[in-house]
Amino acid sequence: MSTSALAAPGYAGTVLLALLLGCPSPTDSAGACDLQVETAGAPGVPLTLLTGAVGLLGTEPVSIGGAFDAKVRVSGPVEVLDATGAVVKTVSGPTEVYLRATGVGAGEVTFKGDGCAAVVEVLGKLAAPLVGQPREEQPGWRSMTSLWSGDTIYLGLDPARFPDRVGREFDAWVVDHRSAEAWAADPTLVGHFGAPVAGKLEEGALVPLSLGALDAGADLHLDLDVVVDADRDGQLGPGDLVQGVGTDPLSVLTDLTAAGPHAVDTVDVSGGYFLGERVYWPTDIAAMGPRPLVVISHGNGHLYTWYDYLGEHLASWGYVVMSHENNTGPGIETASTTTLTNTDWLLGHLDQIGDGALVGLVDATRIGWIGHSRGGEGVVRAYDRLVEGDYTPENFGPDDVRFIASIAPTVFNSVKDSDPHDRPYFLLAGTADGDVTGGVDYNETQFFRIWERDTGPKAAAYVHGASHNDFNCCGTEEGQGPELIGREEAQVIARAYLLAFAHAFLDDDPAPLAVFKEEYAGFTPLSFADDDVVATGWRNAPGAGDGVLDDFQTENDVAVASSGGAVTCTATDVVEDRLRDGDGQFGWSDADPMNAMTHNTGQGDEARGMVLSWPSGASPTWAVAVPDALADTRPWTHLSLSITQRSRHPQTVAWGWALAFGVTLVDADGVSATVDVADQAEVPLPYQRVGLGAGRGWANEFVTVRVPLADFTVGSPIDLTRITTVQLDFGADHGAEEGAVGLDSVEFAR
Amino acid sequence: MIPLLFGLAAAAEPADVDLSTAPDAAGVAAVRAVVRAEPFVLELPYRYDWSAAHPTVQSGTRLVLSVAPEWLAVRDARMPTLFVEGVPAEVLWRDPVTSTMGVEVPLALSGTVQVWFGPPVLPETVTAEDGARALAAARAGGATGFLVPASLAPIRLADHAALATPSSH
Repeated sequence: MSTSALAAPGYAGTVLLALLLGCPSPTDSAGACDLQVETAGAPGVPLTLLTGAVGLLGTEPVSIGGAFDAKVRVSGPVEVLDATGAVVKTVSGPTEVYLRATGVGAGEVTFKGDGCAAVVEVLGKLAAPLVGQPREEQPGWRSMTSLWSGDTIYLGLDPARFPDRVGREFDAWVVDHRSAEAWAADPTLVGHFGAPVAGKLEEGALVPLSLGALDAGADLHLDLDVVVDADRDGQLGPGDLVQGVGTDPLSVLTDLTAAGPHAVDTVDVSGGYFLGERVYWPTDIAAMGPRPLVVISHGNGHLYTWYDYLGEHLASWGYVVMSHENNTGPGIETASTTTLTNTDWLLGHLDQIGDGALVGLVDATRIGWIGHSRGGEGVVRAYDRLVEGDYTPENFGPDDVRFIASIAPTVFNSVKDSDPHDRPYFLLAGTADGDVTGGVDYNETQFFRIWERDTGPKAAAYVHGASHNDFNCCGTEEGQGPELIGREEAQVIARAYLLAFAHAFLDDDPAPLAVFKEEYAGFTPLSFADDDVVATGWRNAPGAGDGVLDDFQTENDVAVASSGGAVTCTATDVVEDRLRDGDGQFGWSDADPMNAMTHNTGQGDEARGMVLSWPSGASPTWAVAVPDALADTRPWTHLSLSITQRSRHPQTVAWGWALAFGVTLVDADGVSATVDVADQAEVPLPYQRVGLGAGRGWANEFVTVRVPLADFTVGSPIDLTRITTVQLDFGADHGAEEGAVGLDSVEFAR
Repeated sequence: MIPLLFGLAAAAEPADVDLSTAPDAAGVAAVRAVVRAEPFVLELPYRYDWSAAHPTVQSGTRLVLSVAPEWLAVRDARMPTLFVEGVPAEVLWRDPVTSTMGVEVPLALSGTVQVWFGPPVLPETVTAEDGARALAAARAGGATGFLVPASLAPIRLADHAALATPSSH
């Protein structure tokens, strides 16, 4: 058997991978069988195929030399396509075919001619982002689909992932994002900033390759594709690697705190009793066409003229904004009524605003409601009334309300009545709030109850040192606690998060949601002060198809997950219960393991969770057996968990810092891989506010930490389609000598 | 200060606040005087949002009260409800300079009238029965009330906006 005689026309620098079985070499057979099969892969190494190919993009080309007919046989997760993308069972040489992964794992393709055959070994792997950031913690790399303007873009090709490409040179291109169809129509690579960066994949560890820093420009974000042009032909084609076709593009986010590209017009109008409104809109709206409406409902003792910072900001990014008189004194029902009546009045009286500048230019099917304090509960109550048919506006309906955002909302009502239902919901609050304090002494100040009630996609940002009235211009400064950040900084933060959320759900553009999905410490928005601390949370809607391993809502047993999987935990002080403080004060008591939990305290609340702790020197783990139905992680991109430090717990006090941990996955073959989150996420030390009992610390601050599943494969052969165990690793080796944490959910997510 | 004002309440949902118990003495003492009481009649009636009954208001009494300065504070979380007799009063304005506040109730008032800061309930949730219990509790608790003289002819105003105009105080 010989392979050396098989030339490689058209694949300069490539190496033959095929094995000829029972077939004389061309010289031996005098041309009786001149089957020649070539790939670009390294000799003796299975060809890496990635899942998620779109058309021929993402496939691997195979050159079939010689004039012959051959049958194609495949085994394993691979199929063979011709140049049209059709699956083929026979080939006639000379030709080129393309191998596409249909799954994960080993396979082979046999080309069987008359008396001879060639076999191409393949290994299907999950597609993964090419772009990321180098890290010090294991595995040394963090996959990214979002970056900030000015960040350096790094390409990360893992030689362990692409052993067949070791030793090969390539050109790395950063190009403007195109749809698969656009790429198919024109595969020419045009660098966003000119020429590609040449690279060569070397053996050993992943070595990030800098592709330069990019400016997002005037738009909210710039979407890019990154292409590894394997054959260096300046064309996107089979054999090339790409992030952005069949996977999420790379989004480069701009400074969300900065004013947008539009000048803003403002006018005050009144339609009568509690119908005073201040309206903001882009001056050039006539050239933009109908734009969504954002409504701002103030809190008690506040004025509708106190939100210029927000109205002008959102209008500068292209939204019509209306802040209105809100009848908050009597309570939540009246506040909700004025949200409803003012929204309806505006939509029905556009001719009375700015000399008719908005007539025909407000999209009544895309409305966002933002409320502050009693207004923050009022907007939620207003939506509930829409859904329940308690109020029927003339100019919009419940489906037109695309999102609800509450700034430090009260929760006077049961959450059965102040219920955001399935709306995208954003909760923004400050830990230094001296009014709606977030404290455990009153139910109506525990605003995370509304967040828990929501059954849509939802985000939270709990801002250290921000007070209640920092989120308007002029309310009494009532902040309580250390390191108050002040009104100016709080409004910087509010502008960024509210713009991100509004844009995502009013313009159906999820890119800026990265500010919630990526944990704050590892993805701090531009222009935030260096010492700002924000506990950010994100939760997909239940219908989004997340693979919930344990949300603690059922199977209320520390040894059994809600998914049914067995749980083993070597920590101490392990308790599952309602996320409800047990004694109405923050001082630590061993009798109240759910101390400082504020997600479940009144009628209609259902949130449950788990707590654990570990003393100095211990290295406990919490591990859940993955049910078979969730073992194949391909539907998901991340392992997501919601975690908090436990306020005023002795181990939290002793640790005294932001906390990190590790996440380990184990596959069915016992292969394990660990990602330490230390330099991509952190669980903040609870805000060191005094009051409501002895000690320092306020309400527990759950943050969402999402670890890209692809990162578990860096340098590891772990099989993400057969995961058997998900384990959280605590202790000194993973970022905290001692500590105490609470968990709200552990799941596979997109 | 605000924390002192509101730290007295028990950890309970507002709906669970017991209006039958005697009001806090500080809340009773916080109302120092009825500076002025004016009956009014509106040309355009409106719905009274400050009680659960939501009566339509065409006439009532507008009051100017002298109150302890710290009780002028407004907040979003629970705060004491100002009762006039058994009805939560609609607050029209607050003036920290003079430490006064303007309120109105859909009641004709004369004689001895109870005015006090009661428990922290949302006014819109207070039923007539709640108000009657609160009034009885205030009287039982020793609230002595204020003498409101028999009034002159009511002032005539166009609508609620005119009633609430700060310049009228």
